[in-house]
Order: sequence, then structure tokens, then C-alpha cells
Amino acid sequence: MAVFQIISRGLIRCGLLLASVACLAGDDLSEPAAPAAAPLSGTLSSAGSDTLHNMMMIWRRHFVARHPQLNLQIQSSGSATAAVALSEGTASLGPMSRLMIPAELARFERRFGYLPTAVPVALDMLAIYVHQDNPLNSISMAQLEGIYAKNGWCAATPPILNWQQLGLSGVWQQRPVVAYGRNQASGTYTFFRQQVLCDGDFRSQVQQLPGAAAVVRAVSQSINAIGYSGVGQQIAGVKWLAVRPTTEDAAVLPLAEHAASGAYPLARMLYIYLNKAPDKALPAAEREFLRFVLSTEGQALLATEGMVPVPSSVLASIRQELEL
Amino acid sequence: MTRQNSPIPAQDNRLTTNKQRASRRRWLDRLWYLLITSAGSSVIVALLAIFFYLGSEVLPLFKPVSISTPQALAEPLPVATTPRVVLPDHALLPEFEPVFVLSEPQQRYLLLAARHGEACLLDRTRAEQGCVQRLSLTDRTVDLTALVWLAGQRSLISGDSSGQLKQWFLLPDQQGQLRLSWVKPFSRRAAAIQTIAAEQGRSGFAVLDSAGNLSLFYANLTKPLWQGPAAVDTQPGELHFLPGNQRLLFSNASGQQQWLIDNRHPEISWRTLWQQVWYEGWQQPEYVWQTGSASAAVQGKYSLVPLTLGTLKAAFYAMLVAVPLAVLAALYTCCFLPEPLRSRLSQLIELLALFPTVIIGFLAAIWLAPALEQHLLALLCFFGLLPLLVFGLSWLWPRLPLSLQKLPGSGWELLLLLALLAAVGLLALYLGHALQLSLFDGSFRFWLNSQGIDYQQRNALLVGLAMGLAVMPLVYSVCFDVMSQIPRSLTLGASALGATPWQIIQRVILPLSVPGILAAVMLGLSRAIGETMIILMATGNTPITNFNLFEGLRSLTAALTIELPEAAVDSSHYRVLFLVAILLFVFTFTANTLADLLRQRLRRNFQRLDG
Amino acid sequence: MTKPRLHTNAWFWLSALTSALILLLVLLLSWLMLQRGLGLFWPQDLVQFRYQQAGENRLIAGEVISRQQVSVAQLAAAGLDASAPAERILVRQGYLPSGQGGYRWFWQAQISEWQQPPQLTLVREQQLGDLYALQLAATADGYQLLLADGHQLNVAANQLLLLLPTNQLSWPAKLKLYLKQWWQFLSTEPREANSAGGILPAIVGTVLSVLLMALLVAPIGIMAGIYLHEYARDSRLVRLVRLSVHNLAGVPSVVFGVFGLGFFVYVLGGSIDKLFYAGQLPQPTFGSPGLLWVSLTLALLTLPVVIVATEEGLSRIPQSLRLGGYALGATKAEVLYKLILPQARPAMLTGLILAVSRAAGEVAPLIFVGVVKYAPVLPVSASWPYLHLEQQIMTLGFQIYDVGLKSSNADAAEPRVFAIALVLLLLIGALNLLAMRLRRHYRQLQQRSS
Repeated sequence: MAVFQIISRGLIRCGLLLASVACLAGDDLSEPAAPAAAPLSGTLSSAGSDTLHNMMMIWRRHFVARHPQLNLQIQSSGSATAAVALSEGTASLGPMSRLMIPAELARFERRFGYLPTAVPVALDMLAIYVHQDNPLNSISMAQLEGIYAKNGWCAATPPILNWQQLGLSGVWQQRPVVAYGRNQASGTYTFFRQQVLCDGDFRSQVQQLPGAAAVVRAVSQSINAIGYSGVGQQIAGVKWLAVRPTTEDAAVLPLAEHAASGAYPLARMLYIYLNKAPDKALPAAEREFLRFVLSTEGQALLATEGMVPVPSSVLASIRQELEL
Repeated sequence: MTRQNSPIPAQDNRLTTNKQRASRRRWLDRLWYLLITSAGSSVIVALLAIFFYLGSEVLPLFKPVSISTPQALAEPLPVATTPRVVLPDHALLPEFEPVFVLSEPQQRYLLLAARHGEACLLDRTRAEQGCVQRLSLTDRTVDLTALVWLAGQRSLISGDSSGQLKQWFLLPDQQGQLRLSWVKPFSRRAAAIQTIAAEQGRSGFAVLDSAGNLSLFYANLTKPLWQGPAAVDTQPGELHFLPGNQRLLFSNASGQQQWLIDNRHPEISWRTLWQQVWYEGWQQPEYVWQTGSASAAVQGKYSLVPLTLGTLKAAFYAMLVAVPLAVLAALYTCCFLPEPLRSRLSQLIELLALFPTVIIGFLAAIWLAPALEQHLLALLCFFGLLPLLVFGLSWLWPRLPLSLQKLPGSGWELLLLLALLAAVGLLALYLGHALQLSLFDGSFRFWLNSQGIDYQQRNALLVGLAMGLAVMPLVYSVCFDVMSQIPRSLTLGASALGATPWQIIQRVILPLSVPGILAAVMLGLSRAIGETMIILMATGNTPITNFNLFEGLRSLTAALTIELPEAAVDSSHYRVLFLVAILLFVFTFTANTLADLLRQRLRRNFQRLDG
Repeated sequence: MTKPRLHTNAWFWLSALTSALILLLVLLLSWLMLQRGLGLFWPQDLVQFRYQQAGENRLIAGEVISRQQVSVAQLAAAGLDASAPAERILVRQGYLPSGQGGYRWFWQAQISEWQQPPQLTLVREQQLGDLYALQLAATADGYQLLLADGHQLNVAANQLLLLLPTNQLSWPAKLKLYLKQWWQFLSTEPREANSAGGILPAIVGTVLSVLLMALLVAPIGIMAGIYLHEYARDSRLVRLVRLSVHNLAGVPSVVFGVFGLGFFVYVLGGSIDKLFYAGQLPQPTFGSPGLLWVSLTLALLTLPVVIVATEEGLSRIPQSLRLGGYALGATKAEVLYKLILPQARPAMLTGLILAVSRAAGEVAPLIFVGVVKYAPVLPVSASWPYLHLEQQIMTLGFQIYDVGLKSSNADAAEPRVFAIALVLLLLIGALNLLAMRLRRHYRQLQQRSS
């Protein structure tokens, strides 16, 4: 929650507009000119979020173009792997699609004596997907809970088992709702569980597939399916549902402007975790990589994956903190 | 070929060189022996190492709780006290004097409890209506002495003056209205409950009774994890857990004392792993596998029952597909096919074993799953038509011209059958489509749903077909080996006595190869139990506990593959996953050992018959 | 020998039918793999049309990927005009600056001005991927493209991978292009999050890890086999060893992965780092998953295959040969080394090759010990130490799992998975063919010598 406070503070400061462009104009927060860094070499390894995988690959491509000697390895098996890898020391960058939980932080602290540093690098949204022939256009958070949750801890919604309960008629009345989702290693799963289920339990009939694409593919193949996955999934044969934060609110599609304004309820910050000792500067490779990721150029690349740049006030404070 | 490097040295007259040579040869022999023996024993070492390593990761799960003797603290520690909930004015009911006031996390409901255990649940948004629920937390003859939230504030523990401890849940009813419901009693304490402290971030609690006994509980279990004399002065005071739950603090007027507690994995016990557990927020006790979440207050739910059942379910359906296919095909290739074709066909089927399972899993997930959903009826039709085809052929063939009658047994009938099967397949597709439109409102699958049979696209049928195909070659090759090893003297003898080929098969070959077939089934089973990628990719990984053919499953192997990379090292989750690995190990070990014993027996049988 | 009334038996026909069914499945599977895998790189006709629906009026250019008939019932359920069955086509539009690119379904009924203009060109660019250009104009340092959404785009010549006016190409030209694309697929590294480009690192990773595994498993496995068959007396211990070998073969491969992560990576790798790479800590060298651990895990996994094959090969050799050796005064080692092993070589080789082909398709245990979705730097290099054992690798099997389930551009990635699977199958098939050849070759040699 702290993150959202930071974001909203940043947004208020810049007048609640479509973040980056407006904020950059005439503000002293703009990035410092990058010093002409010497080409880096060596190995930099990253382990973590599946959601950030494509973004890491894109950043990697642009970054390695400048430092051809650098070997940047990327492993993406889920956010939880980042915490393990950082505290075991098996990776130096830990992309995560959520904040670390106290147990993970404690583990890291036991090992190194200080806390890991979380650097917000992008805003992402979860989208709710249904088959393209599904006439439904919007869904409320409470209805989502009814579909996915075993115990209604958010809104106490009774279970929703068929499409009639979502207001569809005709043949849809008898069609059951088949719910797809991600597996437990993913930050997507955790985020959805927090936002929609209030940390309740999933029904055991919710199908857990081990990949973001697998979820959307399964929805595209099954007419009565619904699934949640990152918004960046490009696949024909499915459509997004607009989401109503509460039953009275207007339905909101997962578009960039709604993520930045906070109207879309399933938007979240994505991070890269670092192992930075408080009194030491970051190693050159990590510093340069983050400098690139947080630069205007690096943030602009987010659009290709359907993600949204981090508000620039947040960026500025991070740069200060990391001495970039 | 032994001529050019004969081990016997050429004529050499000098004795000393001969002696040197002999000793060198002896040394070499010794060295060779040592090398090879060490390599042999290294295998057993490797196996033991795996087993012991897995065991060493699991054992801490079952380590009993230990508590130090209490130490007095010189400097008192500040303890976090729960903020007092302010009562709205009109909530003060005239006849009601609350002793305990608790508020649920969303601050909408208030729970008030009076001295004798009368309780009132108040909806703050509709406070003027008074209590939405009234109940008694004790049996009214005793006093309510303690009432605390467990971590996460989803359930309550009450203690009374008779030493009774009870757990209560706040659950929504049909209208979405929260209600307090009685869940279970814990084992009764000997004296009145004095104070209860809830652990932080997990569902354990400590209880001190007025006789000075301390007990540690975990919400899933009714029996205490530890109990014993507290050895503190019995002046009333309060218990508190410090962050990390490794220190328990008792503070009263005379000062503070602390216990050091080693209780790392309270949520895991034999009972929670294998029996139904009533978890917070669930309507009844169930077998649940749903591991942690980012927020630590959520209980990890580790029941191995759904995973074990899932593994067995997948293996069962896979064997249902694989065994008939393999045994019949082995019988055919071994007993009816002439030689060059026989080895060709058996090689071809064994080649199928080299198909990487990740490819089969991918095909099942991407291609077969939607096809099966659409053509389920066609598949049923196909299997319905097969017996017709068999009986048709066996009726028709003797009535054909003699030149054609010679075809069976020559191998050419395979081509014919291939064509026939393809034709039947197409017919089944057409039939399935037509039936679907005319009888089942266009979709058999939704018709099944309307009949109360839950059909999921990623189901056990899909896994059975895909994994059956993957396991079949192994079963086949063992069966084929066994059948072709049957001593020829027996079949020839039977033939000489005038038995028909089919009688030979029925009376000689099949009875003799039964142990071999059983061994093959065992090997196939162990392979199916250990199979990972097909299950991971083709099922929805739903941890459910039924044997419905049309619903999914989650197997031990799949859980291990997806969850181990995420599990924090040394956490309960991590160790339970190692337990899963051991379980797999034990399953396959049993199946393999059985198969091995059967095969040994078979070999002895053959030797006896042959000799 | 006559076979009286064999054919009238229903069981005969049932077993024959079962065999035919298996044959049919094998054929179906091979056909599926070949058709999907080989079809990927064949240059398709490019189409252009206008699409008008619900206020939308756009020009579309691209390739038709598939067609779908939609029944009246389905149309009605979707809330669309359900007077007659309709058809829709899946079109690959490539990158468009307006963000409307990618794959999309179009209703056939709403399509007009369908044409296949010769100047329509498929442009493959390093960063943007595939583009479909309506018109193409050469500029000073590249080309200016006119795209279907009306945008003009400049592409530098050095960023250009492919320029393909497919509609103008003749058959031989298409064939040449097809082969060239296959070559590129096999010899370059992946682009666009593994959804385009080649699979060279995965091929190299697979081959290298498997070779290294063979080096590790061959001596131990063969020696253990010799021990079991030649040295060990039939004691209880030996029976236990034999049992554990057979059991080791049955242990689920994922358990080896668990062991590999916990023991090899954390324990063994961690101690190597402390001893030899202390200067680089906390940055791990061998303490993180990598090529060496992949090979070691695979070696453990395939050990039983090699042992069993060796034992079987040894048991085929007649006892008389050994006795002859001893009679001439040879020691046990000499008999083994000079008489028995040359005879048993084919069986051992076959076992090893079978082990290799099993390892090549393995995925589940490797996820833990060093196979990643993207590690384009090859673990071999031209400078010392040539082979980088600590590096993480890509393998074909993991690529199938990963690209198949996790790619964000699933429509583009899926056909590639079939191609990758085909490559893996061919690799395994080739290894097995080799094993069969070897077996036959040595058997003939043996027959000739005896």
C-alpha cells in the first residue's frame, strides 16, 4: 500500500495528469545526463518475475547493444524465485511483480544484515479475459470474487458457477463458468489473491496454468472460460472485460490512462530488487542497467508491452536514493 | 582375435623380469578390481545420498516443540497492546455489560461478549437494529475468561473458567451477512483459562491456566503441541508473543518473564497432511492444498491427499489406456506376425518411447484439449464402433474366398485394418457431429454439464490418453520380451499335441506370461506416477479430490515442479515439497521392487520349464 | 504348419486392430509434427482488404493464418446476426505504429476489396519484427514503407533482415527462401522474447549438456555394470545394488532435479565458490544453477540406463570365452580388458546413446539446475577456458515448455514450438538411428569373427 501512496503523492504533485509527459515538462526532476560510460563486461544475472520477463528481454536488447561484452542472463520462473535467488546470492537483479513479504525480507536480512532495495520500474495491469464470442462486456470485483473465491472475504459474494449469474441469457444460462488463473509461483497469482480475494482462498476448481500465455490460450480455446493474466498478452480470439471497482462504479478497461489515474482496480507496480549494501555504491553493471531502465528511453519501451511508465516524481526519488 | 595380444608373455628366460611382470600384473588386477568395485558401490551411495538428503530436509517438520525454562527479564520489554475498540453509544444495550469487545478487520462488525459468555454481533452500518446475532460463547454456567483473535483476525479463540477452549469463525451466510459460528473445541485444560496469546502471522496460540500450566496450540489441531508447568508466579498477567514467535512473554505486576520456544513448523503434522482440516473461512473440514500467499496471515494449507489422489488418478487412467493397448499389441506382434515384420513393428512401437514427454504434453494442451472438447462424442462413438468392427471381421472372414482367408497372419492384414480404422474414425467424427446436433443441443459437453457432470477442458481423460500413449511403449516392450522368451519347447509341444494357435496362446503363452505382464504394469505405473511434463501442461493443476474422468487433477510431480522454485528455503512449504519428493520416491520404489520380484520369479519359472 | 480357423477368432482381430490403432496413432503424430513443423517457414500469399464493421473502416494487410466456420447457434450465443452460418479468418497483420497490429479475427462478410497486390511486401526488421508494406520506396540509407494504417515508416538498411514481395515469387524462389529461413532458424539467436529468430543457443545447449553428461556417466555407469556382472558374487549386497539400480531408473526425474538443486547447486556449488572463487562472493560462480549441474543431474538420471545396458551386453558373452582366457593364465583384469570388453562394446555404446537420447528430451529436473528461457551467450567461446561450465543454458525441451506456455505473443510463438519440437525429435531420432546402426554393425562383426 505504501507504494500506492507514493504514486498518488507523485501524481498530486504533478497535477494528476497522464504521468510522465506532463511531469517531465518544466520540472527539476528530469533525469541527469548519463555520463558516457565505458563499455561494461562480465556477467549480470537476473532471476524472477514471469510478468517482467518480456520487458527484461527488451531492456536487455537495448542495453546489451551498448555493452556488447556484458553477459546478461535472464531467468523468469516467478516472483518468488527472485527473493530466493537474491538471498541465496544466485542472482543480482530480482525482478518482482509484488513487494517482498516479511518472511522473504527477514531471510535476506539474516543473510546480509540489511534489507534489499526495491526499485519500481513499471506499472502493470491484470486484465480479465473471456472468449471472443462471449457477449459479456464488464464484470465487477465482487463478481470476480464470486467466481474465484472459496470464502468471500472481500464482499461476501455467494459463489458464481454459471454465466446466468453474471447476467447472460439464452444458451449461456446453463453454461458453467470455467475459471483459469496462474500458478502459485507468480506475482500475478498473489496480486489477484490480494486484490480480488482479500487474501482468501481460491476454489480448488480454479485451473492453475504455469504460464501467462497458457491462461489466455486456454480462454481462447474454451467458449465458457474466464481467466486473469497480464495485460500484455497479444492473442487473437479473446477479449478484455471492463472491470467495475464496485457495483455502482463505471466499468473501466485496462488502458494506460486508467492505470496511471488509479481508476483501474487491478493495476500494480513492478519492481526490480537489488542487493545494495547501505554504505557501498552499486556495482557498475547493475547501476548502469538501472540507469537505463529508469531513463526516459527505457521507460518509453514499456508501451510495447502494454505497460505504463512509473510517475517521474517516483523516478526522481529513486535516482536520488540509488545515486544514479 | 586373442592371438596378437595373448596375456601369456612370449618365451622369456630371465626369471627376475618374469617376477616383476607377474607382480605388475597382479597390481594392475588389484587396481582394476578396486576401481570397478568403487564404481559399483558409488551407485548405492548415490541412491542412499538422495534418500538421506531428502530425509534430512523433511525431518525438521516433525521435530517436537521445545520450550526453555522461564527466564526473568531485568528490563521490561514494551508489549503491543490491542487498541481498545470504542463502542458506538446506541450499541450499549441496557441488559448487556460487555467484558470483551472485538472488531473484525474491515471494522464493520463488532463482537461484544459479557461475563457469562453471552455474545452479540453488531453491524455498525445498521447499529440501530441491535445485534444481528446473539449467541453464547460458553454453556452459561461458567465465566468467559479470555477471548482473542488469531492472526489474520478471521477466527476467535474463547476460554472459560472450566478450562474449555473453543474456536469460532466469522463466516458470511447466504445473504452475505457475517455470522459467528462454532467450529471446534480444543482439548480441555485442567483449570480455568487465565490468558491466551495469539502468535503473530500464523494461527498458533499459547494458553496459561490458573493452575499455572502453559500449553501451546495450533488452530488446526485440537491437541496441544506442548504442555507443562509454567513455573511462574500465579498472579494474573498477560501472555504475549514477540515477533518471530520464538519468544513468549509473561508480564504481570511483579515483572516479566520469557520462554524461548523452538516451534518452526506447527502447521505440519501427520494429521494436517493426511486428514481433513477445517481451515479459517471454510464451511466444513476439507482436504486442501493451497500454499502460502504474499500476506503472511494466510494459513498455508498442506494436505497431501489431493496431490496423492491426483497422481493416482492420472496414473490409473493412463494405465487404463496403456495396458490393453500394450498387452494386445505385444500378443499380436509376438504370436501372429512373421519375423521381419515382427521386429520392425516392435522397434517402431519402442521408438515411441523416445518421444519427449514435453512434446506430448504440449500437443495435449494446445491441440488435443480443444479437439477433445469438441469431438468427445466422436471419441465415444469410435470406441463403440470398434467391437462392432471386431465381431464383423471375425464373422465375415470365414465366408470370404479362400485366397483372401490366407491374409491373416501374413502381416498384410495390418494395412487393411489401418484403412478400416481410418474409415471408422471418419465415420465416428460424422456420427459424433450429427448426434451432437440432433440429440444434445449442439454440444455434448454442455449437455453433460446440464446432467450434473462437471466437464472441464483440461481433464483426466486428456491426461489418460496423452500419458497412456507415453507409458504404452514401456509396458509393451516388457510384455513383448516376456512373451518371446517363453521356451519354444512348450509351444512346439502343445502344437504337436494338436492345439490350435489360439489354444496355445490361451493355455500356454498367457498363463506363463502373467507375472511378466504384471511386472510390466508395475513398471508402467511407476513411470506414470513419476511423469511430470504431460500432467503439468495438460491439466489445469486443480487440487481436487475426486476420480471424475472429466475433471482435472494436480499431481505430486506437478506441484513439485511449479512450487519448489518459489518456496523459501527451509520454510514449511519447502520441506513439505521435499516430503512430496520422498513420497514419490517411495511410490516408485514399491512399484519397481514389486516388478523386479515378479520378473525374478518369472525367470526362475522359465529356467525350470526350459531345463 | 497350418493355422486352422485362426481368423475367425475375435481375439485375433482385436489384437490386430490394437496394433493397427497404435500404428495409426504413430502415423497421426508424425503427420501432425511434420505438417505443423515444416509448414512454418513456407512463404504465404499476402492479402490486402478493407474491413468495415460497427463504425470501423480500415485497410488491412497481412497473411491469412486460419479460417473458422461459425455455426448459427454460436453466432446467436455471441449476440450476433444469426441468420446464416458465417466464416471468420485469422489474419497476421504484423507491427503497426497505431498499435492495432498483431493477430486478429475478421468476419468474412464484412470484408471487401479482397486482393493480392504484387507490390505488397513482407519486411522483417530487427527491432519491430514483421511489417506488411503496401508500398516501398528506397531512401538514402534504407526504405520508406507505407503501412496499412496509413503510417509512413523509415527502415534503415542495416536493420533489415528480410524483404519479401511474396506474391511475386515463383515456386523455386519460394523454395529457396524456405530453406534459407530454416537455416536462419537453426543458426541464429532468438529475438522478440523467443517468439522470433533462431534457436541456435538451445541447440548448442542441448548438445553440449548431453555430451558432457555422456562423459560423466560413461565411465561410472560402465564400471558399475562390470562390477555387478563380473566381480560381484550373488550376495545380498549385490542384490541390493541391483535393486537400487533398477529403482534409480524408476525414480521420477523431477526428484533428481530437487536433489540437484539442493545438493549440487547449494551444497557442492556453494563450497566450490567458498574454496576457489571467494573473491567474487556474494556474486556466485558455481553456487548458482549452470551447465555443469545440468550435466551432473542428467548423468545421475541416466546412470541406470547405462548400467543395465552394460550388464545385458556382458551377459550375452559366452562363459567359455572367459574360461579360455583364465586357462591361458590371464588375470581377471586382463580377461575383462582384452577379451570381454571389446565384445560388449556395442551394448555399452547402445546404452550410452539411449541415455543420451533420453537426456535430450528431459525438462522437468533441469528447470531447477540451470536451464533458463533466455541465455543467448553460448557456453563455448574462442578464448580460455573455452567451455564455461558455470553458465546457464537454453535447451530445446525447455524451449518447448516455455515458448509454448509463457510467450506473450502466443499466436506467433506456437507454430515455432512445433518447429522446435521437430528439431528435437530429429535430433533424438538421429541418435537412435545411430544406435541401431552401431548395434547392427557390431553384430555383423561378431558374427563374422565367430
